[in-house]
Amino acid sequence: MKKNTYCILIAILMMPAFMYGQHNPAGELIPSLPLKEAKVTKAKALVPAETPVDGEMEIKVNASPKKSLFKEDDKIRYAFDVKSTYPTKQQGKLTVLVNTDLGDKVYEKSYDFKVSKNGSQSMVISLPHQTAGFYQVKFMLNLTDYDDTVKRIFGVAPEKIKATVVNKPNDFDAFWDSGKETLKKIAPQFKVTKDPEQSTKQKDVYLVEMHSWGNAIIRGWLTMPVKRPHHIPVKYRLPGYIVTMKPTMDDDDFAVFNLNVRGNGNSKDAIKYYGQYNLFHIDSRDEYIYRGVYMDCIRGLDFITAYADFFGFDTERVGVVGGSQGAGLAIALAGLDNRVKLVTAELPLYADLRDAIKIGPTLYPEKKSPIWMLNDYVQRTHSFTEKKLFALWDYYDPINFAPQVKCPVLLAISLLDELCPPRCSYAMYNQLGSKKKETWVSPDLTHEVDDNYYQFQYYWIKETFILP
Amino acid sequence: MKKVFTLILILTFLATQQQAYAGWPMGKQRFLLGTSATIYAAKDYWDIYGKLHTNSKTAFTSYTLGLFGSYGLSRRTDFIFSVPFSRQVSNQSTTDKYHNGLGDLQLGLSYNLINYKYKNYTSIYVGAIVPMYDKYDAQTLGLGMYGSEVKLMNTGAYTLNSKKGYYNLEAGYRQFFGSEAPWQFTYLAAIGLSLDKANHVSVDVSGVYSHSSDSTANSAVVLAGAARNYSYTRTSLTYGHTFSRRISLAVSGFYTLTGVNTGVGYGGSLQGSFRF
Repeated sequence: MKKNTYCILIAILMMPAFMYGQHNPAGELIPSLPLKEAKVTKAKALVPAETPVDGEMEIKVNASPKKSLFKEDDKIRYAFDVKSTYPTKQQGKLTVLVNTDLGDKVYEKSYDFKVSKNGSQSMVISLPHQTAGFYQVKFMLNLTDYDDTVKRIFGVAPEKIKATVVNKPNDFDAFWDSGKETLKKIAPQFKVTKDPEQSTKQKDVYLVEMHSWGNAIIRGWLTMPVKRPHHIPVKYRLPGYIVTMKPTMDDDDFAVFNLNVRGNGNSKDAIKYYGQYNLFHIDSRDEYIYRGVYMDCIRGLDFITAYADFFGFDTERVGVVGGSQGAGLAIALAGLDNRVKLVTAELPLYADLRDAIKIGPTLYPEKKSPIWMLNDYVQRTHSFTEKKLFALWDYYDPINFAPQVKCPVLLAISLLDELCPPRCSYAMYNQLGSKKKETWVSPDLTHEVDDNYYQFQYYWIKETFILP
Repeated sequence: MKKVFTLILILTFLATQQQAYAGWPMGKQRFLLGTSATIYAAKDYWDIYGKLHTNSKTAFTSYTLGLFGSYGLSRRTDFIFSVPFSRQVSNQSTTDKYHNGLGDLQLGLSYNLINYKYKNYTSIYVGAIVPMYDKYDAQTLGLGMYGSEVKLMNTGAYTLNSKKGYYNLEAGYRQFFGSEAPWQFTYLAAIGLSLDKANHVSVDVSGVYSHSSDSTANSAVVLAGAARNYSYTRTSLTYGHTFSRRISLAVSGFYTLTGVNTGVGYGGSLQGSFRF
């Protein structure tokens, strides 16, 4: 075979990578973060003209770099591309507005903008340097027959972000130590029952019941691969806000324990609450629903420890996995209990609540999230002030548990998250006492992470636990 | 003739390793150690013009035990090594000749350049070839030359009718050092399919094009020239069984489809790999 034939062969070999791959100049920190395809906005004319003109605009807004995270001295650049199907020329203004995540304007500029009929137009928009923080940028397009606004969030030096106020109560540790001591006095009375209906040839499913805080009976689902090593690592999954946890059937490498904390799933009867879940007993630090919830999480660890020999759990490889509320619980649990050897936390709810409670309503006033509910309660309850809310939540805010977290942590955030502002997630992340910690960023998603994250998470856990 | 067989034997051993790595990054701090046992036989051969000669009075058989491994230095970088130990039997008319010994040690680094959704990886391998025997003229275990290799690899996963599979494409360039040292292009295309969670099959096509400035027809150097100027394409079929995350076993059969100045080799190998 001739040399040039081999050159062609090599070119063919590389083609898939050039077509689909992305290079990660950051090297080791976050390997080749796969990102969602460019966000495309398609919309019909919002403003009817005197003579109706029908058409569509396809708008693509992409940050460079795509992760939308910049250093303080980085040029902040966006590519703004528009493709029009309007049969007439569209012209007007493109206004770029940059606000802090608390709504303070830091930059505004308007550009003349026109798109020929059935044509396209592209611009590269440079924004001025910003200090550490997260910013909302709005691209407002006002054309002859078309108005639209595209919103994005970008971050600057997120590793420098701190909570506006960190107020860890002096008796924080004593409060939780006391709780743990009380929990120890409650006999768990574990009951493990194999569920033949949910078990398969590959997986054994067990219903796990135990007595927890206040002697409430909480439950969870344990899934064990039938074919497994003598010592199997454990994924301990904690629930999102009033999310029902079910058996995990697609994980061959781990024993997976899904806990339903009180009021969730098959632990719904563990507590009779009224009104909103996160408002139950909000006027009492000691009776607040999350005190029991946090203790439930510890009780779940007690189960893993107690049944380590029976099921072959590798207690040196217990990873706690959670999303949203589950992520906050995972961080809190890792801060409370060193039996947790690893945490992956996606979109941690309640992190840096003092800031989150301000950012959420500012950026997403329509979104009724658990934090919105706390805020709403403060607004409509004269006797319960924001000061009282913070005085309570300082005992429960994951950010106050973060310094005690020493195990490796993987944190996933989404920049357009309406529930868990990225600034707050980073403020908590930066407080973690872990030597190994890493972030995953989905720049164009809201309260969700992109599909590739789960593949990365799988590799990350395997890497951290040094699994084959 | 036998020296041609010898080199192909070593390449055959190297090709069996792709079952274990297939271009996937190992992962930081993870270690794979593999062993293989390979039988290679050839009697017929293609001459320098590509003409097939049968009923040759010369036959060649070799038995090779191989050791290979890979260690993840980082998420992107793996250290890879392999070394074969061979027993070669060359039958010329009524005489059998035997040679035993270590072959060429290969060691190098594989670096993942790009990945796409953690399903497709493009990597580059840069390595060295170190002969573990004294001298080419005294042994038949390889060229007896130091060499270098650069290889591009693209590996990916796919799903077909809910069954998972993988593919692996490789193209490499080798340069040996020394008088009339050859350069070589190597290539490999493999596709595998999981039959279930524990069993999989794969088929691959691979080959080598080796060229040296030494192309004389002088009988005194024809063997050396033959060992440097040749090409072949071969195929193999592999069945693999995964006992656990740590232990897997693969059985392969291979056959040389076409070649120039090389034997019509065939054989099989058994390979076990252990992950730590």
